[in-house]
Amino acid sequence: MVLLTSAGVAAQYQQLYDTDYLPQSLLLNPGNKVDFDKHLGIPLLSGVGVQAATRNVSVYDIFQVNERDEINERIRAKVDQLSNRDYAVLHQSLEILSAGFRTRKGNYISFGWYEELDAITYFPKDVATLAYEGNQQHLGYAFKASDIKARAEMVSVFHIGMNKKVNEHFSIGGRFKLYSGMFSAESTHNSGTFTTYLTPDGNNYYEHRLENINGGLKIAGIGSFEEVSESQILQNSIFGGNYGVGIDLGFSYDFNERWSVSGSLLDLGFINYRSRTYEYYGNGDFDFDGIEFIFPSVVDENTVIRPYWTDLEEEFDENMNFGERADVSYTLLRPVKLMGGLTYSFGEHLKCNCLDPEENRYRFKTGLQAMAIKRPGSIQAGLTAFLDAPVTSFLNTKLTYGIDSFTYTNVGFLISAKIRSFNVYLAADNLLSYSNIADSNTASFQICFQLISNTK
Amino acid sequence: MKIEKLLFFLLVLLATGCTEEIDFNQVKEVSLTTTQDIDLVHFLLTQDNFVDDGGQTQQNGLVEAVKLDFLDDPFFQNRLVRIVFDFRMTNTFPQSLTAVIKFNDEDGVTRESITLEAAGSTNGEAIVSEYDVVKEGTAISNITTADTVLVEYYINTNSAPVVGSLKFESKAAYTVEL
Repeated sequence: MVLLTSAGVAAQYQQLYDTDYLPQSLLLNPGNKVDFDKHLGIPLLSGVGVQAATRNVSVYDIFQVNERDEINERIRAKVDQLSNRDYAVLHQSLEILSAGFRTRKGNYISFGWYEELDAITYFPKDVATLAYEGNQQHLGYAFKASDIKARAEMVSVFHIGMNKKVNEHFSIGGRFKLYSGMFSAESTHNSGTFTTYLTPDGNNYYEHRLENINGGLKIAGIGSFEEVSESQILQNSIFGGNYGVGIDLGFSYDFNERWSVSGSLLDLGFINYRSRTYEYYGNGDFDFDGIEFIFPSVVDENTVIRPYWTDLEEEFDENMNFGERADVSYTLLRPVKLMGGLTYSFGEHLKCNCLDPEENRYRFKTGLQAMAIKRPGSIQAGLTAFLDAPVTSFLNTKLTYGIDSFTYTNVGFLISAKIRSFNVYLAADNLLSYSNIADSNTASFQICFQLISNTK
Repeated sequence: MKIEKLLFFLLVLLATGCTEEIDFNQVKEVSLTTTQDIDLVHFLLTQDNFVDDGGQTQQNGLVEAVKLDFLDDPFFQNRLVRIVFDFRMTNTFPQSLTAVIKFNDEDGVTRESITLEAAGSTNGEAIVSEYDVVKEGTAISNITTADTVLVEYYINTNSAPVVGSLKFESKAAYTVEL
């Protein structure tokens, strides 16, 4: 399985963005120009994609084979190097059904059903530092629970969208989405600190302080972790009881024959989780400086030995509230995405195998595309330059060069072949890492088989 | 470069993609050794613990115990590899005091013990005695089979009146292999 990071996610979006000859471009911009009259995806094969990325660490960094150091040393070195802004992302998508057609009024209706897994985890720097280096080396430092930040969602998405060509230069579109949450695990709102203070004038060497602890883990779709069932997750794809709605909006505008601009806002929506939900939680404050022995005085006739440990446990339980509960209800916003592109067309005029053969087209398109995804701890952004050109009348290619938080040298490509109505495309990125894929911070792969046709 | 050549180059690149040697079996070797420094017990002894209102010594020895259930927990029994105890005693008694810290099992059998000496003060000023005690190997096994810690204190009386105080502080750095 290819491993990717959010950089990979960004790169893959950019490869399909603004490709008006592919229906999948409508999932990235419902207002994109549409260069076909209908399409029908091959069920389960019309959009298979996987992307993974890790910021500042690679598989090779950890699992390389050498005689210089062993794996624990390499992990330790990475723990020192990584920060709480580093993260790993896994994204997978599968189009189950995909279809579209042009109406008599000229609008393009597209609809379908896809499954999507999106997971992100930030590196819990403070937790790792406390684990590897201990508290003695960091006296007075407040280890932050907020460094624990992770989220994974698997959703089933039913969608229908419409693309309308307002005039020769301007197209707009929107898509309505009905989400069915298959599985969710979310721990992104943790707060509080753990600090060990040196107390020269105190009762003991230290004072250990848990302050304003508040956080936990919410899961949905499976009940508690003890009840995890793959079949249950699959059943949730339709009638799981965790539902949400969202919309996509987009446009494209041609300034003239050569210049155009486009933009889209995707997954503006939410899912309300209330079925098979479970929560593990903890909150409170607690100070500890050891167990104070109270030796009986010679004048004290009370010689009962105090239950120090039990008292400590009770005091802890009174101040720290840890527990778990079922049937909680919570709402998560979808990771909203903002995309935009500026395109310049040039080169020889082309007789294209497209919707309007009379259209004055240039062979090459180049430009810049930008994207941003709202993540729990930050905004993940990327900028991509591209060159899009048909090699032959049935073969289109797109070459991309992207920069993002994972790499400054992300070269990707898309190749799309259309023989009669049958279309297959293949997209991959971070090609420069192919000499040692395991050392890559990001990689993505996508393949699709579908039917695309024009009535003209 | 013509687009056809570029495409050919990309396909070759894809077809020849490879990776330098990696070994996922190394995951079996992954371990984490963590050390956490935690306060243990503390207390303050005064002459009231040894003498009556008339200044007559009533007892030379004291004992107090705490049951530490976590010590015999399987997690500690399997993972604990080292404990470094730190003790600090601040004494203003003119007498020295001897502390014996015992780790007893549920049958009351002492499996491990530590003996400390707090030096006496000659002029009423606080005398600080500090000890680092490292326990490893079989000593760890002994400690993790115990469930109770006893602290015994003996004042080594002399001709001077028993007047003063002793502040006892302790912590332990637990090293655990995960």
